[in-house]
Amino acid sequence: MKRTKNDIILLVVILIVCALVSIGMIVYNKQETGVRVVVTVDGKEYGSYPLNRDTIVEIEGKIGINTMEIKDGSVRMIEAVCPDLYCVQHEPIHANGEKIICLPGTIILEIVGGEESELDSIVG
Amino acid sequence: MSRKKKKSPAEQLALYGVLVALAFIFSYIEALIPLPFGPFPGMKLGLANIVVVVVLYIAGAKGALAVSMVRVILVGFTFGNLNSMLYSLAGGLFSWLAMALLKKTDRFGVTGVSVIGGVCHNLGQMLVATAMLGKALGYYYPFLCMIGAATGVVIGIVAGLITNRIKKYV
Repeated sequence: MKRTKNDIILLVVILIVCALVSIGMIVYNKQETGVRVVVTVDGKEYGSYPLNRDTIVEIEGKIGINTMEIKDGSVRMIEAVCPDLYCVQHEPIHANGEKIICLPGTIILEIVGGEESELDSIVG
Repeated sequence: MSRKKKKSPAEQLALYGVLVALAFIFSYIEALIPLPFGPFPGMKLGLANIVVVVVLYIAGAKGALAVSMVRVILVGFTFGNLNSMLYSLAGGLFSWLAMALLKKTDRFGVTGVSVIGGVCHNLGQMLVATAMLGKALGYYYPFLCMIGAATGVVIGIVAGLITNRIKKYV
């Protein structure tokens, strides 16, 4: 019985910690509305694109070319060369802090808000 | 009264062969079950861990590690996804370590051990992903750990039931 009690405590602690971390990150990010999507490949910034302009971008990832679409303020991956295609199945993102990740391609699409930039888009 | 007698090498080989095959089949079945996507396309049930946890309680930590690693490698090569295999290896190792340690403290039941296994599996994968992508992953990954904990509960309960039933025979 003591073991079962410990199990329950463990589970509750884990759930609470994870929930807090999740909520903390969400709240922290929602301070600003999403303005741009930043594309990172292999840890380096590949480009940054405003959400208010519909575009299609080809991203050269680690294993091939993924295609990202910005439409109506949302971002999604419409084509990918990875075997599992989780990035394509992911629902479109638009809120600050949301990300779509292609693990094999080491590509991260992240919505970022905030500072005004003189440049409309930066392509690395 | 049942007495544990030492297994011959042939017996061990046969037993582990069956266990790995079982874990492998669980992986395959799991791949056939589509889980809700939306924000979490990578979610898995972790059914093969039922076998790993049972082995942990019947044959010990070494046996569990062997079954877990062999299963991951077998699945990786059979289904041709080496990238995914890397993540499974990391998750599996981390998960095994946590489970073996927790079991050793003798303060938790099968379910608790399985829960930490589930969480650490996701944690291990997150660490590898962060290392490979060069950036932290975002707020839904702690949420994934919660899912890992929840599936860990179910896996643990099932593994506990199975262990009780087959203890006598193995």
